[in-house]
Amino acid sequence: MHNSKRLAFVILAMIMVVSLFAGCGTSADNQASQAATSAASTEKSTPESNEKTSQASNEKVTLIWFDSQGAVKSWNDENFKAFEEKNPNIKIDFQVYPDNQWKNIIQTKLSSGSGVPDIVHAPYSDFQSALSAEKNFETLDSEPWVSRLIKPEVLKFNDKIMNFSFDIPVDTAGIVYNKDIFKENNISVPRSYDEFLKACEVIKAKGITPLLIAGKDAWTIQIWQSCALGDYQTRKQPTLSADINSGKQKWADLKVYEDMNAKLLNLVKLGYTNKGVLSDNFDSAVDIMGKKQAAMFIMGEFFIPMAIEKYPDLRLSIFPIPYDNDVYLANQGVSGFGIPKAAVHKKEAKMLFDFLSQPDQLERQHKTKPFIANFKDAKSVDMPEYKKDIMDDYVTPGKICMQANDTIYGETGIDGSGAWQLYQAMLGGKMTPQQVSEEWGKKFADLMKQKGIAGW
Amino acid sequence: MGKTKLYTYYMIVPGLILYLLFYMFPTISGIYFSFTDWRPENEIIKFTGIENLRYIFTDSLLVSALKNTFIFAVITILGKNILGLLLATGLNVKIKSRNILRTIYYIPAVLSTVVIGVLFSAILTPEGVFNTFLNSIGMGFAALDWLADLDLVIYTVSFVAVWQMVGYHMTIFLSGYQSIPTELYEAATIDGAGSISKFINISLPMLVPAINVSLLMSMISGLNAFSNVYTLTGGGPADASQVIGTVVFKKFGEGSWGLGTALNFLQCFLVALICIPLLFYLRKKEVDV
Repeated sequence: MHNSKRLAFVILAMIMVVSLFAGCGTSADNQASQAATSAASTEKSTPESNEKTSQASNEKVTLIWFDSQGAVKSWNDENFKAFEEKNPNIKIDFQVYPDNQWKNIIQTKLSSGSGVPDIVHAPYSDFQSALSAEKNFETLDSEPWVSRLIKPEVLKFNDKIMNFSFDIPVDTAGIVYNKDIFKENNISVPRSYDEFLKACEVIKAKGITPLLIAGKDAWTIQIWQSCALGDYQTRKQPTLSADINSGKQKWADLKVYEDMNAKLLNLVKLGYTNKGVLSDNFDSAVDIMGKKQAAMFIMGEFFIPMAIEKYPDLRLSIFPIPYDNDVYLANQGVSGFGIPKAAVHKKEAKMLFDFLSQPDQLERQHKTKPFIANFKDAKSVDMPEYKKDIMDDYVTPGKICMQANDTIYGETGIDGSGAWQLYQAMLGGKMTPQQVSEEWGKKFADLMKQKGIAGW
Repeated sequence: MGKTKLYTYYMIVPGLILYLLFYMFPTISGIYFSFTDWRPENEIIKFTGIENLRYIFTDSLLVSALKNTFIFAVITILGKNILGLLLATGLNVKIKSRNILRTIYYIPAVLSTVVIGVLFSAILTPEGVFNTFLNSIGMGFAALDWLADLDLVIYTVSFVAVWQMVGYHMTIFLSGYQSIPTELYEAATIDGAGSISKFINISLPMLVPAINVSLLMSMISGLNAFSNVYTLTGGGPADASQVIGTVVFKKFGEGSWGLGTALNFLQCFLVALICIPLLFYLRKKEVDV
């Protein structure tokens, strides 16, 4: 009797625990089980039978789109609305993660196989290294849009297409400048650091801040170093990435790195920058540039359409970081979309890619962020003035290079943002350029060790 | 004898299972993971001994975060308790506006820290409301770059935290005041004691239980600082306002999960190391009425 009572209590206790779990996890579990069921059916059936099943059952599908905060602003919602209208059973759910976390979150999802999204948006360099594209992502070689690509090689990993993207990547960064202020003061685009200083002096004399640094957001400062290092690697030391990543080239011994930091700091010391280099942020830059309170801004070209949207009369363009003579304009690698092998709705994700590749959708996307389409049948659209400048002055003559973020850090997947705080410390008067080199060298070594990179 | 108990100890089983599963298991596994190289891309998690702790005490960012945590804790403990006690003493007097004033001082404590972060980010810019006010009263020399000056920023964040929670600590002291018998003050008045004398000899000793609670709460929240710093500066600029809590967040974001766990473990250990002896010491000082 006593034992049976004890047993009854234990059973009762277990039931209470189980019911608690059931109560807590209802909605999530439903979703998970739905996803699991759907995944199972997708895996077992052929694409044809799957399509028939989907159409016959009118099953509602939610495509999970994984993106980072900074990049998601680049997409035109109208494209996705149009896709959802054409496919009423498919909804796109954007899951947007902070810029400093998305990489680890997606790595975790991919390695655990839990909560894997249907579409992942990431830079090419991250697909290559941090996300192990060949191991984790679907090959897209047989997709219908592939035959329409102008340059399929920009989307290839070891000769396989594993990404979808709209464009041939021309997404540059450097010094965004106001063409009208330059014209009014007879300033031509500086081709050297000395010419840049002279331009700053003329602009300062007119009571305008020559160079805006939105240093509260540390990522804006590092554009200077990432672009300058990219140019240095292209023109002077092609083995720079390999040398740094193998430990052959120490940061503390890389004199050009110290020099480019010293030149940036010098601009602050000479009073050519805004007073609050560490208190102004990216969000305030549109108004500062739009109201012509500053003539130049260390930034990517993506800023230009944002500023022009608010200040339509603004004429902005871009030139390379003037740390040296005749510097190349720094570009970023393609930013693409991949479908994880473990995704639940691969078929629908592929349908979305095909839809986005259609000429009318490319035209629609072009309104958000002008780009050079990588599709043969893309309608010819008028390039904005700044994009023509970039094409004529840098892309066509071949004066273009990749940013160090794509090369040095991209190869290993190392998070280079540890250096950004050092740049802030330097601009805030707490570190010298030499100390930045030494400290970043130490941090870099730690990151390489933690990541288990060979030779560290 | 032989009477069946309505509640047997088996009834604790559900709670015990939940406690073990959701508290003890993560805590113990957290201690284990703080001695590993746990990262998202590592398929095998290796035991690394005290490597993470060695890194914590040699990395300049972490050493600076430890220092900032103590600065933040000291300023907020002193600020919240001294100002809270003064406000409570002032608002314990029978004045017409005291209920309104009590409410006004308490409001920041119920505001979201995120809202406060956004508000003060705007107020404390070089051209913000605070500096405009200082300039307008002829104190332009004191109009500083409160959130971008690397030497100043941790103090600014600490003062915002004090501003937010001082009303909350005021209510703790006010509740302490309500438990002091009025006869003590009446007897002191008859004996000719002045206000300061009454405060030192009656209020303070009788308020010791409230002071203990307030001190401990402010100490724990000070050492566990995160939300005020994160919403105002994110630990920047140049990591000048990083505290342990924000570095833990940063390390997890960077994928250094083993290191982040070790740092979090160290933070718990520090809080316990400081607060438990303090708790025993303060309890001895309490006065029975």
